[in-house]
Amino acid sequence: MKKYLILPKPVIIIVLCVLIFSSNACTTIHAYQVGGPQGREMGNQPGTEWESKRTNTFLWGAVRQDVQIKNCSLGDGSRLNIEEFKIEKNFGSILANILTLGIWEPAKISWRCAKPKN
Amino acid sequence: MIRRNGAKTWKNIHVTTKLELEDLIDVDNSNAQGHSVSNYEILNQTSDDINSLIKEAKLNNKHIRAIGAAWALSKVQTTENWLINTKLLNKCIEVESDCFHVDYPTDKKPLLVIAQCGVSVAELNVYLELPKSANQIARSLKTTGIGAGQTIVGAVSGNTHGAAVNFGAVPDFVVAIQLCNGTDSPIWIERSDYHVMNQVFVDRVNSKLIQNSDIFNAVLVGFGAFGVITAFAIETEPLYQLTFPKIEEVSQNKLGSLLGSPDFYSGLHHLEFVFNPYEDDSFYLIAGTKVKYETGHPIPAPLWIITNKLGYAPGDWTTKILLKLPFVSGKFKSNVQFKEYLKNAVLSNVRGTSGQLYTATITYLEGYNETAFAVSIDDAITTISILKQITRAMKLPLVIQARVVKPGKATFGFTNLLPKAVVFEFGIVNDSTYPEFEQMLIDQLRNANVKYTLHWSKNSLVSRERLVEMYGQTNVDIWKNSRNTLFNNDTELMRVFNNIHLEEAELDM
Ligand SMILES: Cc1cc2nc3c(=O)[nH]c(=O)nc-3n(C[C@H](O)[C@H](O)[C@H](O)COP(=O)(O)OP(=O)(O)OC[C@H]3O[C@@H](n4cnc5c(N)ncnc54)[C@H](O)[C@@H]3O)c2cc1C
Repeated sequence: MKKYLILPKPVIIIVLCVLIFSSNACTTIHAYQVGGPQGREMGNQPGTEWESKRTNTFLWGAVRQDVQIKNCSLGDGSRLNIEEFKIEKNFGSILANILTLGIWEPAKISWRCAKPKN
Repeated sequence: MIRRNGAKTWKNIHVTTKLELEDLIDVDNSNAQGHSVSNYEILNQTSDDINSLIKEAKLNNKHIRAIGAAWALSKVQTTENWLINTKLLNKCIEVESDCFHVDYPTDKKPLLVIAQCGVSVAELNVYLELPKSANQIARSLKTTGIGAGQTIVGAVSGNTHGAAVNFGAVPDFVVAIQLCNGTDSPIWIERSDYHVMNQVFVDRVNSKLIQNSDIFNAVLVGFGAFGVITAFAIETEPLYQLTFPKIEEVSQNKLGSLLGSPDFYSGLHHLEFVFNPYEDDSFYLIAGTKVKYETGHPIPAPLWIITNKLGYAPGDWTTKILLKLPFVSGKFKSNVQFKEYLKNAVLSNVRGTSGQLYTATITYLEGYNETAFAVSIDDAITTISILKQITRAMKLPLVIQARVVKPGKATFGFTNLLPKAVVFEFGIVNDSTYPEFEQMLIDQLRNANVKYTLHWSKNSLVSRERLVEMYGQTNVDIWKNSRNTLFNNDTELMRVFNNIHLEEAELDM
């Protein structure tokens, strides 16, 4: 007789959470500005360091958790553009998505703001 | 204004350094009144903001480090307390005619620009090459590195270099420095024998003037140890173009004889060669000449772009995995890498301005390190043999690039070797083989009596012995004395700017 190791549900959830919140990105999608005037490439010219937030989508998108970006502004409150962002999914978040058949889809969103006009 | 973002986990661009910060602080040019202010007010607000942060840090026993674009791969930007992001301080300022020192040459006045610390090389290129005002002439930077993403102060502080065989490295076009270090007022530093600005200007920027070549040369390559540099006065040139013929394959004998003949390179602006260390007798020569700016030439495509037209690129960790693939030889990996390198990363059959040619900005290669060291051009061929031997012995996948630079004056300028410095550099996976490779290399260079210096922004920690070996005790003393003088021997204030990198080299006191 084969023996299967069946873990109790809370343990599975704890293991998943640890995987989601601790491990490095497994897949990363980058979106960034490119180009510049007359061939002077200005890609990857952020004004700030990376800021990030974890986000969850439930029930195949029926409930979403928005990421509100508050740091893309100067000290006086005037707004900066967003230079780039990335969406990261680690092993845990991919597994959570598969095991829940897409009911829970966690991801990490990171961004850097653009520089002010000089 | 100052914005405190609080505690953060922070990584540099290639993720070779990870820090747990107490506070990540943004400083920018906006003001509480919300209206536009004069250029002097902008400079003065910045120095007030920065000096107030430094004084607060001293009071609270905190360390501070300024960062630019975080492109440095070594520990030079390390701190555990407060990291100051300077990238939002990106103004370029023209100097009014009543502000120049009487000794400053008239023909150089329209070419001088005050660059705030956080302006990037790419922003400077656009500002200089495409002037918005009819009163300004189009200008070019005298040299840059391959990339254009560094901030001007970050680039200078780590001795960024290109291949300006007859000019020098990035620090060599700086002629004045504004430094904030928590003492009474900002300090405006110039060389004792090269006066740029007069007292009118120095008063307008609320600074104290120091004209001292030893101090100036020490601060240039100072990796944030002297305080926060808020602005530089830089000298530029009237807009020029560089023209590169198709790269030429040469043998080792031919390369040796070209590097040994100043007549060959006296007319060049850019001199570089690349090679695959597994090939026995093949080198590719990349030689660029400065020419008059002319319109009508096709705009060069940016180099080093690893993303194809549909947007596909290797994932963040792919390069590391591919380079570590078991059962595939280092030679095979180097051959593949070298082919791609020749296709995507060399200046061949192209003409453009400095801002159009030196653009490499988009690179996400996590876990990938860049390492570089310089030797005299007289030792270049010996060094090539050593590099080939170690690479083959360790079976490493490497592509080697070598760029020739005229020596400069910075006390810790790693490109100061006479009669010209040749900087050898290569990308290498950031794991335990990297320090092993570096140590083997240094041992072999020593055995062969080859004097070397390591790139400040790219190599592992420098111990005191290694520092003295590279720069000599006299230069180490000049650098340390300059630091003491600028901080008025206030050890508590100096401590604010100490970090692991300084401690290891015993430069901290
Ligand atoms: C893609 C890429 C390409 C590169 N190409 C080249 C090249 O061609 N040639 C070359 O020589 N190097 C090259 N480098 C290395 C790079 O030029 C150096 O690491 C440079 O120092 C980075 O500048 P930064 O603005 O990113 O500064 P950072 O990495 O943020 O900081 C570098 C040092 O400067 C100090 N610093 C920054 N701002 C201030 C300030 N306002 N006041 C005081 N100290 C300050 C920091 O504390 C730190 O010690 C490259 C690196 C990358 C990632």
